[in-house]
Amino acid sequence: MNQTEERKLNRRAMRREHAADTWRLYRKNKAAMLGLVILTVFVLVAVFADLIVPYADALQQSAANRLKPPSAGHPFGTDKFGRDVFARIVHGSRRSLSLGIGTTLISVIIGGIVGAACGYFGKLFDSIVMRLCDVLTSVPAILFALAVVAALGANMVNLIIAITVISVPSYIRIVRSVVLSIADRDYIHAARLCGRSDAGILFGHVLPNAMGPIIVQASMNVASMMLTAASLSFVGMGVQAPVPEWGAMLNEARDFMMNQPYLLAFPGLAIVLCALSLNLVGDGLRDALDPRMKN
Amino acid sequence: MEQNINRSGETLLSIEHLSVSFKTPRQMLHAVEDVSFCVKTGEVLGVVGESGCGKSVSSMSVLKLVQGDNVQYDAGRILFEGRDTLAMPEKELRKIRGKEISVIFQEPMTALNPLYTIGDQMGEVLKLHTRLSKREIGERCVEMLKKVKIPNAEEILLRYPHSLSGGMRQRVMIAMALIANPKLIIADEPTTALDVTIQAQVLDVMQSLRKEFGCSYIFITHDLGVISEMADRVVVMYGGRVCETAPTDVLFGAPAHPYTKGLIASRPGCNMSADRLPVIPGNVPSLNNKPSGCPFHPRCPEATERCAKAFPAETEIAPGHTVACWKYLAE
Amino acid sequence: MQNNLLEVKHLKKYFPVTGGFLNRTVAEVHAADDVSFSIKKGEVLGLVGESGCGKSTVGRVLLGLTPRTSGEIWFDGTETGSVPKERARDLRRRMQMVFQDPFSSLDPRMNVSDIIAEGILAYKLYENKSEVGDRVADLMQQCGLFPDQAYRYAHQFSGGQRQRICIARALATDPDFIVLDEAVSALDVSIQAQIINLLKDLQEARGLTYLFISHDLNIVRFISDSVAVMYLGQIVEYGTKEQIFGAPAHPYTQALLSAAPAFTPEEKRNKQRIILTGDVPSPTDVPSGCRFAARCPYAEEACKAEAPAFADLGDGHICRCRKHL
Repeated sequence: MNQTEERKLNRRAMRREHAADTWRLYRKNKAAMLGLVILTVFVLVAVFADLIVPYADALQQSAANRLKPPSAGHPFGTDKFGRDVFARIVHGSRRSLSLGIGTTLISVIIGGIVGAACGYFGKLFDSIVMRLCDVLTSVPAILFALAVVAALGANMVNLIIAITVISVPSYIRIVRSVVLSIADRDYIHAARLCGRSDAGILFGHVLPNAMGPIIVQASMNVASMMLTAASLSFVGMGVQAPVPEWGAMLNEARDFMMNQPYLLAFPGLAIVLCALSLNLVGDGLRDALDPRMKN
Repeated sequence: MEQNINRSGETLLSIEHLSVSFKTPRQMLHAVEDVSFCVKTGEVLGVVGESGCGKSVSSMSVLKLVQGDNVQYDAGRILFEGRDTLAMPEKELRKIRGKEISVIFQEPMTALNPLYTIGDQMGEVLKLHTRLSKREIGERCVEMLKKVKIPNAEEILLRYPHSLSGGMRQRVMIAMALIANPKLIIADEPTTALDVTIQAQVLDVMQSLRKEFGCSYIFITHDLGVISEMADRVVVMYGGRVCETAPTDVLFGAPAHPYTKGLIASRPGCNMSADRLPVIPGNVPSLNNKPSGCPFHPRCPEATERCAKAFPAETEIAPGHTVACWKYLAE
Repeated sequence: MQNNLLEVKHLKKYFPVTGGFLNRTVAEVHAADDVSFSIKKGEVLGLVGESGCGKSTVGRVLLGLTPRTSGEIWFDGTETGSVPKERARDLRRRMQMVFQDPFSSLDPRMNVSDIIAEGILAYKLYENKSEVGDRVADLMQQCGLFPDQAYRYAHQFSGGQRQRICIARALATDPDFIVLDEAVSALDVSIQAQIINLLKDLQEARGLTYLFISHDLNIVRFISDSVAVMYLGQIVEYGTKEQIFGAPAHPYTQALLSAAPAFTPEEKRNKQRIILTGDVPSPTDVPSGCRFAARCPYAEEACKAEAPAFADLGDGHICRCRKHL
């Protein structure tokens, strides 16, 4: 029994060392660390939005304060209804982040499982799913999302559904191709000889090894998800009018692009920074999680 | 080393105290340390060793063709007909590549450009280095392909690399390497990717061309059988160092370094009656944790304390047979 | 017949080549064409041939990694294709494989202990955690690994050690039969000998039966009891080690043996080399007569016209060549 105890400790120590290695590798990547810092700031802002500036400020209209440039009272200026842009950005982060990250997560999970099944099992299932994906991608994404929201009704949940549906095919394709390349490696054959079931191999070997490309694709996709959400909001099918959301703010600001560029700049900057940081984090994660990099 | 000069020919190339390392963010990886050997006119020098022993790095340094952008040539010089190729500007080196020294790679598929026909690629060397007309180039290509025993050479010239078999491609590579009549050919594992019967064909072609063209070869391989058939002299490398240099028959008949001895003995085929193969214990060292002193000492059955401390100097134990082992040095 | 552990009868494996509209089958790769052989319990059969001759395919088909086109595979008296599911699972447990490339045959995201334990857990050979741990440690020790390295990842090991891990994994399900598919070809020369000795040790200690697939004749000669030579999807010669290496009958076997580089100076002097002309024909378009006829130095018109049957040379030595009929 003593030996078992020892083994347990040994395993735990190795696991801890492995985690420490991963973190050390990640920390060494300066760009990834910068991304992590920016992302943390965004998340903190979203979580503590009410402490930074009251929600009422984001909705408070004031005819006297329309289209004011940045000043001490309104650090990011005011929009066409005289609302404080800073407050709207702070509170908009909640919806934007949850829309971008939430929809990405859902599509990764669905796309990952379906794509892996396609690549691993192939045959008829694969053909059917791939043709369905072709159909989905052949319809303009925005039009399709619009149709979904129009049919189900405009609210946050339906918005997420619509965006997920249009982004899933690309994940299915990516995961499928990665899985196809992994499925023929010898360690998959070896696992089969070890008596593992198909599901066991899929979740135990194939998917963990396909994580790298999936993470990168996902982190790059968050920004485009936010923008899709913004476009839907713009045509009134997304986040409803007075509720602050970065994409919607960007769209509203288009009319004032020439005279009040800051209206465009701040939400745009927020989206760009957020997307960039996610990208850097994704890149760093892929490298840090790859056990081959730890030599 | 110096004693070897003028034994059977002029020294064509000499590598002197070459050290090459790879720079990584964490550490310097010393791939080759203080390596010296020479190639004489008309001889085939075999360089043999296991993965990571520095055999390719040291030979490819001659043309500065070591793969990777983090290569650093730390010390030493490489004299080709008296000129130091390491110190040469890129422009001058380019004049030597292909014309005076050419290379045959292990994997012909990656060495041939899939977008050009065989004729285009073979002719390119001549176009760069000679003033032959298009027709003359074409004729020369056909002639070379015939020499490497490729049937219907005229047709092959118009084909693309992917439509040829592995053995054919490697023969095309040999024809390409020889086309400008180089003085030295560096062949890096030229038959490793080929099947046994195809390997025999290719080695046969190389043997016969060698007599005809009289150029020198550096023949890099891990296969002792191939080296014993092809080489006149052999350099054995281990862990980035040269451990033994000897004429081929001497090396296989009376190996002196414990590593060479172990390597030759561990090959099945030497003693079929034995129940087990004699082995060299331990693992081949990787670049990032090379043993101190003589890199072979952790695996060496005859190692003593001093082996771990410093690398032994080369001693000549018979004419042309040098060994780097403490065993042959006085206390 | 009774002590044959494995018997393969008329095994065929054709891979379809698809193309054109709607992925129609436009051609077939004859990877294995009417392959028959048997291996006695505790024996090592060497399967020799050049790349593309179908030797690896045979190994994979035996273990069910690719379905066969037709033919029978009898393992320990049972036809593996027609047994009830539970029985089939047990048969599969008793047949394992070691692959050529020690880098792609280990999951880079698993530690050694998990890799070796995979088969033990999947087949429920031991359920108790500490028993599984003991078993893993025991296997590692037997394969020349240190049990305190159990929680390291595959990339932390050298090629030879990785191949030891692969062997330990294959042994974990307590098999009777192991297919060694070029198991030492990717290793350094000084490591090859270590692994070959390990394989011999294990075979003797556990009474294992091996199918040793390799292109290296010297190694096959050392480890095998009998040898089958394959060319273009067919076995062209089969016999004991002494028969094949002492008196090779098929022109291809002769050429193969002579093509292996000579080693010692005496060998070099005594050697008569047969250099074959031409390349191996494509397995999608096999010649109708003898498959070796196009490269055979002794080929006659009749060879190209009609495929030869096996000639019996006595004592189980058979050879597919007209010369001997």
